[in-house]
Amino acid sequence: MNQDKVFNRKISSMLPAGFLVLVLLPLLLLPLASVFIYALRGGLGNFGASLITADVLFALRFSLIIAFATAVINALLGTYAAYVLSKTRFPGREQLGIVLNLPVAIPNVVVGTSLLLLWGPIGLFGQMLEPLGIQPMFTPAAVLLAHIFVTFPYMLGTVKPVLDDLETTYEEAAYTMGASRWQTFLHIVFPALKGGLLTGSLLTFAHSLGEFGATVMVSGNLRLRTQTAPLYIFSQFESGNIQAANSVAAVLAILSFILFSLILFLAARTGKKGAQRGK
Amino acid sequence: MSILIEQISKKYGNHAVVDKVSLDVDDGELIVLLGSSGSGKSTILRMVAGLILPDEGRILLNGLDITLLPPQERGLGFVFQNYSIFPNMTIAENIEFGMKIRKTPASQRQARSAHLLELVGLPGLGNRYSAQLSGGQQQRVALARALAYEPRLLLLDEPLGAVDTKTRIQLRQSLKKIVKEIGVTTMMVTHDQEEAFELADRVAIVNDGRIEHYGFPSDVYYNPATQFTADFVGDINFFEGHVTASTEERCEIKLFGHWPVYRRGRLPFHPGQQVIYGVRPEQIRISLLEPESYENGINGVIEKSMFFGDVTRYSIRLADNGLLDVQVLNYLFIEGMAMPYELNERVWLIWSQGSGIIIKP
Amino acid sequence: MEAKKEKLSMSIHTASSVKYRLVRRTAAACIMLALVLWTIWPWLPSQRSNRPRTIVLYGFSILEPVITRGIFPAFQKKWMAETGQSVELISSFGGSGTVTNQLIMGVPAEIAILSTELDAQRLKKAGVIRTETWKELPHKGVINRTPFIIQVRPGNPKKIHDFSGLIQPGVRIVHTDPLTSGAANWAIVAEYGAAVRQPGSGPDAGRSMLRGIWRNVVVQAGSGRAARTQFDSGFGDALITYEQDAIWSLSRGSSRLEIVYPRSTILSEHTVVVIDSHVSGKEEKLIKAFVDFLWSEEAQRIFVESGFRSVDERLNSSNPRFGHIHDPFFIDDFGGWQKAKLSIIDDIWRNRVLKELKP
Repeated sequence: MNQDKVFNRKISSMLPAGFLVLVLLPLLLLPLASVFIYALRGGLGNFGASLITADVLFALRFSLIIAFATAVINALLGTYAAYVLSKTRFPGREQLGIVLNLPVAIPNVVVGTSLLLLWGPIGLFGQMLEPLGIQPMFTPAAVLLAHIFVTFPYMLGTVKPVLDDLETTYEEAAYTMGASRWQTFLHIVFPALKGGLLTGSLLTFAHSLGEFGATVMVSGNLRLRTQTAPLYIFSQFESGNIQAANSVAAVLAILSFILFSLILFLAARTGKKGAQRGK
Repeated sequence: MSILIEQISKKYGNHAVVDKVSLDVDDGELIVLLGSSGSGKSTILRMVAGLILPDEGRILLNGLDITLLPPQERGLGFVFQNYSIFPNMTIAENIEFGMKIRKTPASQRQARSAHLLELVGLPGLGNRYSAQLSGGQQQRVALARALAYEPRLLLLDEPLGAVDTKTRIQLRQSLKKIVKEIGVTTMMVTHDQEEAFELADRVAIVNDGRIEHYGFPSDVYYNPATQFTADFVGDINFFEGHVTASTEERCEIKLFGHWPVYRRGRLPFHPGQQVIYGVRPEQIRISLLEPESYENGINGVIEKSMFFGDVTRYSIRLADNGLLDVQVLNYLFIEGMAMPYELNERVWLIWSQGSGIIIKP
Repeated sequence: MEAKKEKLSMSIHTASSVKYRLVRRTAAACIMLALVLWTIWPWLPSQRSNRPRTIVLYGFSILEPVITRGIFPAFQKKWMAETGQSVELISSFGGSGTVTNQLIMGVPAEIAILSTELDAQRLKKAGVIRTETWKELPHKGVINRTPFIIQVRPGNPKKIHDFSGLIQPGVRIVHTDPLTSGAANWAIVAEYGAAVRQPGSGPDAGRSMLRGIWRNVVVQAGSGRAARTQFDSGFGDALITYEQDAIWSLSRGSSRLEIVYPRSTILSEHTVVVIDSHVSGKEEKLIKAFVDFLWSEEAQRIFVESGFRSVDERLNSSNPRFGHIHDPFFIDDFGGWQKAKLSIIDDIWRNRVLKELKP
């Protein structure tokens, strides 16, 4: 009888998790599974064959490089912005904070269009650059630019709260001990930011990897030149190549999963150390 | 003169948080800025540290004008109320941080941090992290860290504010011992009067951005310059009165317009002047007998008595309808040197003509 | 004793887990490194040495397979044989209108193949090209043709045998969107033309045909390909599309849909535009060679194989899938695109039919 009770307790403790899975099944898990089902419908051979085309290899590599570059640039830029917004006081600070978060709310297509209207051959800056033979749009640089814009808030969103919570006295203590602003940042602020930075970079990387709306506008969607993996997937869907599209989508999903696991795993050490200290 | 503060002010909007404050600290002296929260005492300390720039005035350190120098170049040690021990570094790394910035060789750094840890009573804890230490231990680390690079001046901002009472009393003693042993000039901020009196060579009473009184603790207590100071440190009974006679030997003051009390000494008051007369509860004794001619006395009825363990405090309703607090050491009752008094008993309150404080209103 | 034992086992556990963790971490780092290496491989110095020459081509949607898998590899081979150089195709495909918009926005295309001459004219109007360059090419720039047909579900359950069959109530039509798709413009002219060319029909026949069809349109897709994907996924009863598109999808065996040939329909003509301002001097020869190749018999045969009707009528008999059209017509029968756009698309379809349909 006692064992029955224990068993019941066990069951009831698993109920919330069960319910969660049930809710997430149609929302998240099944659509994700269907990607793999469709990708593998033509057999493993077809799956492989649709992946080793020059277009796919280029699109995947290009996406990874752009995502990495975006994450690195926004890690620097976002941290700097978060630092300025959090640690300095100037008129219009709050408003600037709101504006910097806007890219989350603006449809990415709009972002792409506005970039085009600014930097494109008929745009404000574009027209000035035209005589110099510089054409930033429809190049890899344009894709990078769009991704930096679209993913900017993620870094800000993860780093700024940490900075806001970091008591100023830590920095002041370092100052009184003779540390310059930079040394203080390096030795005191940065170590505190590590977690937020990592999360922010991961989010940025992931969003960049999957970005579509702005990319399709500014890239010109040129295969072997500016076509990212999501653009390739979309083109294939458009052409009715559901299997090819899902194959790449599956690779993207697996890639994201591996990358996230790896980075979290590599970061686990710092986390554990921190937890130990927290005791 | 180690540090000289001249007329510094700091305004936020229209409100002067610090208003034309001047202070001087001698070499090796430990001074305490005592005030309630919001009095501006921490702002003064932070201006000395360079964490806040004053709007006007000068700060001289060993004769050098440091008013506008960034905190990094002042070479001061600062202990924060929350200690701010860097959580990502070990205790030893924390203590060595200032020396590392100064590019002190590692061996020297390690020797110094080991020495300091011993000095503050935490030998061998260098490899721990701040989260593994108690509040009191963290406070000691913060002190060791601020002393590590031999600062010209040590600044302590409510250093004992965040530990429990017992630990605070222990830390107070060791703090004074360490500071005096090293001989570093120290400025400390606190709201705790007992702490201030125990540690300070000199005390500055800070109120509303101004220094009300700056002097030795006994001076502050017995000869406060202002009514605020008299009220802020210890307890006191105040009366309004006016000077009726002032001679070389003593001053006569009439309370309630007719009741005379005397204060010995040559005092800068003249007959007819309105004054505040104060007397501290522990300076008064209760008696059933009338005062001698060389004493001050006033009579009234015991209205309330409160037992505080070491003392009993009586509130006495005076004939002229004022209320006066008196404190009696309970020890005296036990030894039979005083009688317990009952409510509504008519008594004399007697104090020496050598005590009592006269202040300009 | 018990406690001691526990401590001991704990320390052993820690030691082994440290070692294990080290192994795992090294493995993780290796995988990361491999991924990074793979990613940047083509850009490593050793790989960059001989970058091939490139042709940048933007085309409308249904051209993708035939250009990337048929025409271009053939040209690549030919160019290699003639010059010993390798050449690579950089391309992008979408709805003809979308492609035209991209071109106006300034994408670096050297060659564009558009669904309608209408879009070519838009390019000129926007100043992307200075003169009507396509008119100097063979066949006024028309590279191939394909008639507009109706595709229906297996067994033709709605009994649709001509455009007139589409106006019966309850038929759900998948159509393309004239805003972004060239196919849509062709389809509207086809629908209109088929009605007015019917023997004995009055001048209002075209309008009432359009009204009847558009009342039944349930999807407006952005491009011919997008409409095809929608229809293939089971949506709608009839799809109005290029014959090539239908043949291509049948030939892939992915659908058992049936083609209905209207008695009378238009043959769409697809226009090649060279964006000369984007062609640098040293690429001029390459681009010209490629454009010339498009009209070569070899290329035209490839088009025919993939379901397009060649501009060279003799070649068209080689594809047995091409169906018979009793009364084919061309855009020139309506005075060319410029006129047809104004009178049919804008005036009749947009200003009258659409307004009559919208309550």
